[in-house]
Amino acid sequence: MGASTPRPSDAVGAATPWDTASRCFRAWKDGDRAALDELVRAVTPVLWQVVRSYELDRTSAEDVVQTTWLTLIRKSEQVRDDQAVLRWLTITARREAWRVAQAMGRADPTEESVIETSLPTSRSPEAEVVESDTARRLWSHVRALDARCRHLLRVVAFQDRPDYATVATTLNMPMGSIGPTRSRCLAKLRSRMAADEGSMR
Amino acid sequence: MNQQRHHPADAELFAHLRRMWQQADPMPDDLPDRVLFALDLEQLDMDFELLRLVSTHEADLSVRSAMTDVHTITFSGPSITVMLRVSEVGVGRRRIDAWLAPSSPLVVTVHHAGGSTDVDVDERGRFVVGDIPAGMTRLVLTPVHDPQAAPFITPTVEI
Repeated sequence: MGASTPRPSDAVGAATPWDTASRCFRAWKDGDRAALDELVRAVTPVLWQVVRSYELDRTSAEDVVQTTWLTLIRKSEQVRDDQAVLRWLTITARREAWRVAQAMGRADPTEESVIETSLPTSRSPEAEVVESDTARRLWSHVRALDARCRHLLRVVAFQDRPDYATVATTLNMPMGSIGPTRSRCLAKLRSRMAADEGSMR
Repeated sequence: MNQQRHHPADAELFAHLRRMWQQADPMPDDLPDRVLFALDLEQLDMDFELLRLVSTHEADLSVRSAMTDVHTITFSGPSITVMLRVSEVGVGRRRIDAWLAPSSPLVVTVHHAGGSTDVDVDERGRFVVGDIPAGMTRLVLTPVHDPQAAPFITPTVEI
C-alpha cells in the first residue's frame, strides 16, 4: 500500500494494466510479495468489468473476482509466460462468471438502472463533466444495441487479445460468428454515433 | 501494445468504451483490499480453522456506557468462541476488548487498514487492542505453545 498504484487508463503514456500485470507477476514469482499487491490493484478493475459483462449482480461479481485471484495463487505455475498473466486472469474470470451466471439463470438487470445513476453528475469538475458527457452519450448508443452486442463489446474492450474460443463458449455462439458479430456490433454503434452529430469518432 | 491487436480505428472506440464502463459501473473501492486479505490467508500456506461470524449487533444498552458507538461481534468454531466489543476511540479509530472461551495461550494478530497489530491473550482469555483504524479487520489467533496446532482465523468484518 501507499505506493502509487497504476490505474487502468487510456491516457497517453500511462501504464496500462496489461504492462503492469506482467511486470508484477514476474516480480511476485521472484519472491517480491509487495508486487502481488500492485498486481491486484492494477488488474482487479479490469476483472470487474469483464465479470460484470455477464450480468452478475455486484455481490456475485465480487465473489467471482475473488475466486479468480485465489485460482491464480493456487495455480500460478500454470501460467508459463509472464506476459500472458492478464490473459490467463481474464479467461479464468470469464469462465467462472459464466459458470455462476449459468447457475443463477443469469437473472439480474445489471446494466441500465445502475449505470445511468452512477455516471457523474454535472456537479463534477469541468473536465469530468466533458468526459462524463462523452460517456453518457456513448452509453445511450451502447444501450440501444442488443444485449449480445453489449456483452461482446464489453468483454472484448477489456481483453488484451480477444480470445474467440472462450468468448464463443461463454457467449453460447459458434466461434466462427464471433468476428462477424463483433464487426456488426461496432458498425451499428458507429452508425448511431454518426447520426448523433458531434460525437466522438 | 496489446490494444493494437484491434484495428486502430476500433482501438480508439474501444478506449472510449472502456472509459465509459469504468465510469459507469466501477468496481467497489474496497474490492482490491478484500482480495488481498483473502490472498494473504491463502499464502499462509498452512492449515487453519476458519471461525464463523455468529453475530454482530449493537451492545446491550441496558449496560449503560459512555461510549457513543459500541458493537459486539462474536466468532465461533468447534473449539473456540471469540467475542469482541468494539468501541469508538476517536474519529475513525477503534478499540477492541475481547474474550476467548475457552481461554488458551494465543497470540492474536489483528489485520486492519493500517497494517497489523499483535497482542497476547492473558490467562483469563482476555485481550485488548487499544487503537486501530476503523475499517476491514480480520483476526488470526495463533497457539503459542503448540507449533503443530492450526491457527484460528476469522472472516473479515467491518469495524
